[in-house]
This record gives sequence, C-alpha cells and structure tokens, in this order.
Amino acid sequence: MKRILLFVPFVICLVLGVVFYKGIFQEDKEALPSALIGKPLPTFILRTVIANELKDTNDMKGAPALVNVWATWCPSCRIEHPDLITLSQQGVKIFGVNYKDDMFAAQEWLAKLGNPYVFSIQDGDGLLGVDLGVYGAPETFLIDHQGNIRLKYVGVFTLAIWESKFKALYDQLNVELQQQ
Amino acid sequence: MKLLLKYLCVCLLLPLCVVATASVVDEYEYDFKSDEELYRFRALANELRCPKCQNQNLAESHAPIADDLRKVVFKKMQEGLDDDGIKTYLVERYGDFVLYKPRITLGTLLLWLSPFILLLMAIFAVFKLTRHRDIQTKDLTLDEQTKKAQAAKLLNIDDKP
Repeated sequence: MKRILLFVPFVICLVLGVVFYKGIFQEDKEALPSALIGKPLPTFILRTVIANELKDTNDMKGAPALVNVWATWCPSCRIEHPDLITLSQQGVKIFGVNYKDDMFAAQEWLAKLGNPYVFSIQDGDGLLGVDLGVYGAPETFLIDHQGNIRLKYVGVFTLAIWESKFKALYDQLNVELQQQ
Repeated sequence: MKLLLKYLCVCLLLPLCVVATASVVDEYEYDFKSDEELYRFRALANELRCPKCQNQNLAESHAPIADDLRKVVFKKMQEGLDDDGIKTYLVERYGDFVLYKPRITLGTLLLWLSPFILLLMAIFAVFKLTRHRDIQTKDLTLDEQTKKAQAAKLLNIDDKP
C-alpha cells in the first residue's frame, strides 16, 4: 500500500507534463477560445459597404456560411484575401464584417483586390465586433443555416486552415440542411 | 533592535494589503457624474483583462480593443448594470479569460482548490515517510539478538519479541 503511494507524485508529474507539452506546442498561444460557440449570431442592423443598404442578422441565415471580420488597415486581411476569393469561387458563401473601417477605403480595396463576399456590412464603431468577441482582425466564423456560430478562427484564414478545421463541419452542415 | 525590525517589516508589508486601483489611461475622456462613478469605473477596468494585450488590464492597455471595451463598460454603467452584470456581459462575449479573478464555477473549482489539495497531499506524504518505525527483534541478526537479550537482562527491562 505504501509503495503505491510513492508513485503518486510521479503520475502527477506525468499528467502535468502532457498538459504542458500540449500548451507549449499549441499553434496560437494567444488565441482565446470563443465564448460564442453554439450561440446565435448577435443581432444587428447595419449598412453594406458597396450598396450602402441596410442588412440584418436574418440576411446571413439560410445556409452554412463563413463570416469574415476584415479591415483595410489590417495587413493580415490582405494576406488572407486571395484564399477567400478562391473559396468564394468554389461556392462557399462568405459574409464580410468591415471592422472599424472607412466605407470608401473599403470600397476601393474590394474593387482593387476582388470581392469574395455576398455582402460586407460596416461595423464602423466596432460594436458588432464586441458582440462577436472580436479582439483583432482577421477573425473568421462558421455559421449554420440558422445563424448559430459553430466555429471561430483567429488569424490569417488560409485554404489550409479551411481544409483542416472548417471544411468537414461545413460539408456536414450542408448535408444536414439538404436532409431537412 | 529586533522589535524595531519587526515594526519595519510590518510597515513595509502593510501597503500590500491594499488593493491597487490604478487610474485608467483615458479616464479624463469620460464624463463621470461623481467620484464614486470614477472609482467604480477604475475598479472594473483594473479587474478586466485586455483580450489583445493579455498581460494588461483594461485600465492600462492602449490597444484599440481595450479602448472599445472601456467605452462598453462606461455605457453599461450608464445603462444601470451592476458590476456583476457588466462582467457577465463581457464574459458572454470573450469568455472567462477576460476576468482577472475567475469566477468560482464547476469549471474553475479545480483551479481554485488544487493548491490546497496538493498541500494536503504533501503534508500527508511527509507525515507518512517520517514516522518512526520500531526496529523489530526478528530484523536483527542472531548475534545482535543475543546481545539485545543480554542488554535487556542487565538493564532489568522486558525484552520485546
């Protein structure tokens, strides 16, 4: 009985070692897990970037889609942009949230670099961003057809990230939608 | 001399007992109706973590998101939310990490209790390992057993088996 007890610190050490190992080799150590997974998109009524018309939360519902938070002042958004164009050409619906940006700068940006978005809404004061738990662009959410947030990724959204983290769930959500 | 040293130590350590509420970087931009409001704002900003500069609180961070969140805190104060309500509002959006003092929930219970559990285990281990064990007669060699019996006879004490 006493002998077994001597192994307890060793086991604790081992368990902690595994936990720390996972933490140290984690990709983005500063990424906060989203508090909104499973919750619906926050309600909003905002104007679009290009047409300046009003859109609300319901306009993003109907099918699984990506919601991409971007801005012209954000260099990483520039880097991820070509991959978003590719995804939109593959048929993936992408909605944009133009975060704390200038409407005209955003229009110019999209005209110059291409527009992967069904539409982009202007979140000029960043309040929708706060509701989404955004702390730095770019951030990308995956929503289902009812507008519930299913996944979140903070950082440059590449095709590799899409393949490894998003595509499976996106396909599954589409299958579920068709079966309804 | 010793007494003086003791008094000196107490005087130096006493300030640590006071919870520091540092002033907020842009507090002059807000229109506080009273000193209480200002102090409450400071207290909240000091207890909330900046989600971007994660080793700073909202009071000291210059990050744009910290700026936004301070405005949100102020707005919610104006709307009449109490401290708990404001913290819940931010935790709903940014998660528990945004609080410097994590709430005691089922998820964080292990976090709070584990130091005490580990301390108890350590005390238990030390206690077990340092208990005196009586050397039994059967552990000794034959030669030593004979000598022990002789010694017991000379000293007039009962030789335990």
